[in-house]
Amino acid sequence: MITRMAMKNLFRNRWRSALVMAGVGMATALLCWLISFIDGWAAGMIRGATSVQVGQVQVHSMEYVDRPTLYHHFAQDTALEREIEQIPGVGAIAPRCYAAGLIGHEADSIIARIVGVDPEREALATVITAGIVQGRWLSLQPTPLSMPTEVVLGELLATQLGVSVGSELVLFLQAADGALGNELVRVTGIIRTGNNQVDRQTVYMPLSALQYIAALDGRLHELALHVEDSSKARSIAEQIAGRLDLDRPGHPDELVVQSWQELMPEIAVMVELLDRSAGLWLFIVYLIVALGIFNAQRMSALERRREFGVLMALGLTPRQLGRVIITETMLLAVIGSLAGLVLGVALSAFHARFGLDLSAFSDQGTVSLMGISFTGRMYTSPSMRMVMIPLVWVVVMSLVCGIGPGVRSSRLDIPQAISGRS
Amino acid sequence: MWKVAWRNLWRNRTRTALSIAAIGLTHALLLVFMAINEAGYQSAEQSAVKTAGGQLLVHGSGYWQSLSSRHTVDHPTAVISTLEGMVGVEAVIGRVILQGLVSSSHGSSMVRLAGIDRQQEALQIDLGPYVTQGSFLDPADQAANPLVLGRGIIHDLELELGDRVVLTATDPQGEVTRALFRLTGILETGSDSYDEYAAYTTVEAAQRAFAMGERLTQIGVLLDQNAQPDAIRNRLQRLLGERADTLEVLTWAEAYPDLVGYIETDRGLGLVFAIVAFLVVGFGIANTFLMSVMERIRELGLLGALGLGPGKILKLVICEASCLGLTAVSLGVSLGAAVNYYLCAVGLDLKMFGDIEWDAGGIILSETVIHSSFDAASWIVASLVVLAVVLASSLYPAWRARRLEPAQAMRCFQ
Repeated sequence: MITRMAMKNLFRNRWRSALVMAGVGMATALLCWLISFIDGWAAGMIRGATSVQVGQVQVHSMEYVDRPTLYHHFAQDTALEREIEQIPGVGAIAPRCYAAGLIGHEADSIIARIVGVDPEREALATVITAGIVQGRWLSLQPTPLSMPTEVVLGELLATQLGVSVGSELVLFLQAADGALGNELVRVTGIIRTGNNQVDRQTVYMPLSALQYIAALDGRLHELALHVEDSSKARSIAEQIAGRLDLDRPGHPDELVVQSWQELMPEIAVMVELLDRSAGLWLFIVYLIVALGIFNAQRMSALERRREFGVLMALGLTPRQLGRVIITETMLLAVIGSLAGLVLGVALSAFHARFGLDLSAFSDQGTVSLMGISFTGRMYTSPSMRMVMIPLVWVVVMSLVCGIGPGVRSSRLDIPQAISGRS
Repeated sequence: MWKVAWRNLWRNRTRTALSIAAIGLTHALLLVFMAINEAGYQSAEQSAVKTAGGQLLVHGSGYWQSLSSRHTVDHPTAVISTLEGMVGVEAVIGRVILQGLVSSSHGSSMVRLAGIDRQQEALQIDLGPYVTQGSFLDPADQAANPLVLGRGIIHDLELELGDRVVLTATDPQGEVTRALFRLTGILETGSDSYDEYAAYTTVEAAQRAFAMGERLTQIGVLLDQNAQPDAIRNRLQRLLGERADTLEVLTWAEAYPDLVGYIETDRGLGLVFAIVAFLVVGFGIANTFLMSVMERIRELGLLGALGLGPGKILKLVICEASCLGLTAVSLGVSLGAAVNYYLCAVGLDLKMFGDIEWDAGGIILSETVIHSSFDAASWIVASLVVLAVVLASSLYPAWRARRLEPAQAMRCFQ
């Protein structure tokens, strides 16, 4: 009965109800979209930082963590790798070697970070092959000795050198035995990933080739692990660390396992900061909406004092009257916010599919934060969060806004209210 | 008319107070938000100017894209004297910047080697105080090839003051050249990403070691505060005449387009948010006015019967809205100014969210204290917009009030 009365009351004053609902709806649509936008941004940042290169979990030697140089390597151990792959949640493992070197031709050369990768496993553990804009990824079979070694260059590095697919370059680097290694290489592919370090400085080459040039036979600097659910990275890193302690007591290579949150604390903090800024917006916008709803409900209750007096004279108890008013408020807010959710979800689904055109805001059309670039379009990431969070807040807020007018009306003095002298 | 409107407003105190609170609060929030963002952009721009090395940069044409030592400023003295003669130019700083590899027996590390003149460089930023061991390219220091390295490199390569290190870089002819330097100072700025890359020597040492003659790779130009980088760049290009083809002149914004993109996008999104927030408030206000008109149907009808024409009733309601809007806006401005004053004076430290170095568009922003800046023009514009929203939302209620039939309105009981 109470809900029906509340409904009828709302219908009686269509304009007012519509305006309140429109306000709540707009606010909810905005917040709903904002949550999916921020989630999309954060996911894009985590993805850009982890899935292109770093991976979600990494294993290094203890010394490498402190001083990431050529000399701090560990022995490649396929049995161990296979064992780590068995841990649930772990996708693929990419073994790697790093060296700093000069790459160039007669006219020019550039300092680059040379990464030795297993072409097949690197492609499984990261999304690197999706970044290829020219040519192809390293071939899975080892290059015949008569051919120059294959390399894949970051796009900006290639532009800086003025080379394209097929160009031959010379690579110089200092090997682990102190000798100067050099090698003729041939560009097979060029990548653009949005990760600035990869795009500007990195040269990928087959692991075995780099191990040979840098005198690192059978040694690695890093294992990068792909973990499906990046939020589980921390617990998986702990599991692997436990396994290592158990299996390899007294092993000469002491290994350290770190999750991406430990490897790139600034990204983790940034994601948290984004999340908090969404929370702040939520609070502010709903505070504004709450003031509006409270005002509207208080006034409509005051306006209907006479009506309420009659209702109570007819036997409606104060408690029931209070409930009618609270129900009205909640109905207004919830219906309004449902409409808003429809709008917000639709908009965010649109932007999840087609992306938000960044060039609408800036001629540059690119946004780069924490070394991760978003170019052209930015995609939202819709989830249940974007529906649930605003909805819960709306219910709480409308309850709070309804209680005041409800309690006040339930206390009215019947004769005085009916007579109209208040 | 204004008096009547003002009195009408305060006849229903709580309602008016709540409306004013809603508008004022939103307005104050908007203003503070704007000011904080603007201050953030400004500090980002300052950092960008510092990172770039000046508001204007002169390079050999093609240098900025390739960062290659192939592209040099070949006869820098003429360019420098042209620049020094220009209005709006405060200082001209010549540099040799090379991407290189520093090696010790413990490995090698990528560095950005800057050959600088300490006195000149100090006009923009003096790194001297950040050199925690040794000295910062002190002329009294007798080392022929002095080198100051960031703390991170020292740590990784296990170096000590006085050690000899090999620097490998490409000279302008494209030859890979190795040169011996002596470590005379250790730089510790506190920014990890900076301390992992920074290497400094003198201009002369860098030119000698990498067969550069008198060539420079970069001329950084510091401008007066009010000078427009774009205008000065155009003027410079005209003055350079034929030489302009062999040189590239960039403003800091052209040098760091990603940062400009970040700022513009952030500003755009902020604007969208402000618009939606005020639409929400606008609905609230329209509602309030609609109700206050409906509530006073009899009163307005009586006024009509007493000879107040429809136009005047419309005007009355709009006057009420203006009074309300003005009061709310002044509340918002004073509240905003108070919070802003606090932020200007004290600042809000983001460190409470954790230790973070921002990297926006390739610029490291190590400043984590949020400050605020006050820009009168934008505050006035924002306040006018708010007033306009309030007035716009009162239009429909006012229109309805105008259409009232006096006789019918007076008879009406609800």
